[in-house]
Amino acid sequence: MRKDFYKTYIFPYRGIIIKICRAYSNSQEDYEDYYQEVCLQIWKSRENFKNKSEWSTWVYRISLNVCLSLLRKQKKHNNPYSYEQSSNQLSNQSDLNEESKDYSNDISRLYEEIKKLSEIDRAIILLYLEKKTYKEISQIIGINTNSIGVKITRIKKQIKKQING
Amino acid sequence: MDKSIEEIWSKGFQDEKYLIPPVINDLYTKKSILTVDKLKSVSKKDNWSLIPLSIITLIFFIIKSKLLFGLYISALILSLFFLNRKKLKFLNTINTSQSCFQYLGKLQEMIKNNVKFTTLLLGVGLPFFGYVGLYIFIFESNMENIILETYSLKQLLIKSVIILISLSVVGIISFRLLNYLIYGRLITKIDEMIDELGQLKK
Repeated sequence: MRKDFYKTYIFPYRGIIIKICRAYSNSQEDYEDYYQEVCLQIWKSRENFKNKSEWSTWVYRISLNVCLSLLRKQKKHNNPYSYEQSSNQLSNQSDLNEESKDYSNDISRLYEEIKKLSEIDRAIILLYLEKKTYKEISQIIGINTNSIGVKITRIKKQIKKQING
Repeated sequence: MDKSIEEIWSKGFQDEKYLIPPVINDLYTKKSILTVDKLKSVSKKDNWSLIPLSIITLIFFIIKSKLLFGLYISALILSLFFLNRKKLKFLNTINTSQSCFQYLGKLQEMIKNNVKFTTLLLGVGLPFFGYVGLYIFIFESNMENIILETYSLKQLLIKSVIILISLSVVGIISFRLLNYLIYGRLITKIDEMIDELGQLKK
């Protein structure tokens, strides 16, 4: 991939890719593979982007499609999800202050719960947390706008319940 | 926990540390090695399947009281097995520590040469060996006199030419079809990777 393409079209959106890849990958190694594959697919499909949506929406769509397809491939090969491996992908917290440590633990826990959701529910909640509108979520995922709100309420309830024990 | 999930999410990612992407290097290395390994294993399995096929053919023709014909066909299949094995040795010479563009290129060339060679073998060799096989079959079935009495020399010649051409066409079509079904996806994958690597190099 050309460096200038990466700098302009991928690096500024790395947050999106990182968050999605983390939500779908089962280990650090998987996460790195997913990230690389998403970047590659973005580069490969660059000519298909027709400016009908925001570039970030395009990146979301590709990231989700790639992660879902890789996850399905992995499931086919019977690679069960390992919570131990994944829950601490965000750790190495020794140099963080107390507040950051607190949020870091929370976010690891949140990821654990997100990973327990179905593939589509994971995508919906990730997009919701990224402050995407219902319309954008519906465009990216390809489901009816009306059912997004209901789904988000149900998913949030489920996560809250699990986190609060 | 009193924090909302929205708060956890937004504050959790405030630290830039969490937005450091993994280093991208050798994008195609893993993919290429996996593809080469897959090609090796599919080719090996494909070739080894000729052994049971040869045995089954022999048993079938022994049951049908055509020992000579069975032995002939079985020997042909075995020859194909050894010929393929010799060609497949090339796959082991592929050095995956080289740049993937280089060895994928070699692999692509090998596949193309192999397709050319096999097409030629089936186009010319199959009619020849098939025709010999037909003679053995007729001889073993004691049908040579009946055939010679039924058909004139001209008729026999025309029929022979039709048989030879048919064997050639059927052989080539069967090979291309099987090649597409067994290796089609892998070959397309290799072609795509080479194409993308070429674009990346520009």
